[in-house]
Amino acid sequence: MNGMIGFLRRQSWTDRILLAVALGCLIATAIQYPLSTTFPIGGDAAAHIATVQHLQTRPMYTLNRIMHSWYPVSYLLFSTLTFAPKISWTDVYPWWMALGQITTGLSVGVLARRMYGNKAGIIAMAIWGLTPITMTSFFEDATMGQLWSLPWIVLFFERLSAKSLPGMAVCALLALLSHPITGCILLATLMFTTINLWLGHHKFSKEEEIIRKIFTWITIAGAVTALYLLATRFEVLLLQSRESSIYIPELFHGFFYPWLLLSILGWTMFIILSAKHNALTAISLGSFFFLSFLLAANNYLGIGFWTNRVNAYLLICIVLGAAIGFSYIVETTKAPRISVLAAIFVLLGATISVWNTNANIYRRTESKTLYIRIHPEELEAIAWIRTTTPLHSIVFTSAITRHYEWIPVLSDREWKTITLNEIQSPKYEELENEKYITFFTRKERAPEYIRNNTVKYSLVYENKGSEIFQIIPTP
Amino acid sequence: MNTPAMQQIASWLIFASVIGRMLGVGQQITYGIFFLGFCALVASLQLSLLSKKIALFFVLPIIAIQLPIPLPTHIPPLIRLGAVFAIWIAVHIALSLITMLWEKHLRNNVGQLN
Repeated sequence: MNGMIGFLRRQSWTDRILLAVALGCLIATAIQYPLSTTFPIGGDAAAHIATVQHLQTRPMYTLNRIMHSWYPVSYLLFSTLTFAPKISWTDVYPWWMALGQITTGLSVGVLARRMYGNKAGIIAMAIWGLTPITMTSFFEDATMGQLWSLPWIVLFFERLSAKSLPGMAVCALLALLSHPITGCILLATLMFTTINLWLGHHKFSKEEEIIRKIFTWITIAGAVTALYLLATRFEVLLLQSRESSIYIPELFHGFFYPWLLLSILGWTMFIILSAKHNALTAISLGSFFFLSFLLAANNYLGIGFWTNRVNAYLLICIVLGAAIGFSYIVETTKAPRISVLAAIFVLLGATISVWNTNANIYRRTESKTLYIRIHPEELEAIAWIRTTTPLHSIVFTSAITRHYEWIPVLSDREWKTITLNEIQSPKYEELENEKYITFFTRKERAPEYIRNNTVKYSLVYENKGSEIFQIIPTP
Repeated sequence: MNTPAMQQIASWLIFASVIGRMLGVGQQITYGIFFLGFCALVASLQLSLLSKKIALFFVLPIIAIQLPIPLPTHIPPLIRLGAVFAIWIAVHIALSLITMLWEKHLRNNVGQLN
């Protein structure tokens, strides 16, 4: 605390205002999401809550689920909320996503500060604040695992820049276990860095020599693992995807274009300065930029593989570069007060613009005339299942909408997806549990053979948006 | 013109291009102003060979998307992605090697011009 106060005292009053504005920009666009929505949006939210929600009541089962998931560290962090009293997972989830956005912004700020000083760090936080919805899809897609993996990869580069080996090891491990894509990109970056270190005569300090040796071993281990995976899991390489990036046009022609320009300047300045003093960090961050750029723009290479998913890593590079570029301009214009005020004007103006754009999107997701997020009638039906049906009941639905995924989360009943033909299968008939079949009628209606067979399927609940039939066992 | 003055002019030009773009000035005009400022800045700075080598990381991906390699579309996307990466990494390594050899050549011939 004293260190923080001391740090603030050492800053000029213009820098203090800039810091306050930057933090405001970062926090405002992040908390706009939980403040503007009444329920989590995005298909993955239900799955994330379902994984962690029973940590207190069924700890071994939950820990087993977490450890066998793709995002164990992200889930472990999220599961700590179980210990908060009287928690409503659906209320807290958007706040957790907002916290992930803020944490990533702070870590980007810490890295930018390490790369180019206080002003760059402050500006980086504000620029990262411009990214929700317009440049990333974490909130809309509820990709919590990936969002909470970003601080670790960013802090890894910060620790690398500080030449702290324990810090690097911890951050790399957390990044690898937070999200597989982040882990793969970090690993690929280290391998590419190592190849580049082999190609040149760099004068390194003792610590850097140790880091270089570790990178070499990681590269060898990574190459062996990649060959093993290729030999045993070749089907992964056959994954199909064809999507164009919705963010790259925004970057090259849209509202993020000025930041791209500043980023060119920023990276140029960073290269010139760090090539002399911190070549290892410069080569590592260069490798990260190289891989992130080709990945995020892979549809321009005629591929189109998960372009929107991998955009965030390029965005981190652009934000870092833009912050350094902006900081350089503010410092070299030789009119500190005017340039800082102009910077505040630019950052505030851009944030207000993002706020207004995002407000329209949040209003749209809340609209009752659209079928974007789960509707109140569907939530009422799930609440009915929770309060009325026996504890060991099974609820069947089709897989036509991901809103059905909220049934096990909110009703605490077993939930199975089936095709409507399967429901007549004897294997379900043999189950002793009480069985229900649910339809969210905005998406699908109960078929005639269920509706007309009142002996077998009894309509037990109905409202404007849902129908629940109890399946009566054959005597 | 002395270097600090040139850097200052470059900074103001770049700043003007960014603010201009945010205020809705056309993309080509703002890019033109930015390009002028950027050229003035680079001209006022001294780039070492290592800086040029590191700059390859940033320049090559931009060239890559301007020159997409026509790979057969029936090959699965991840394999095509791997191939594109391998090609551009190979280009990067080749250029780095050339830079390294050039650096070595310069080091070996220091003072010979005199």
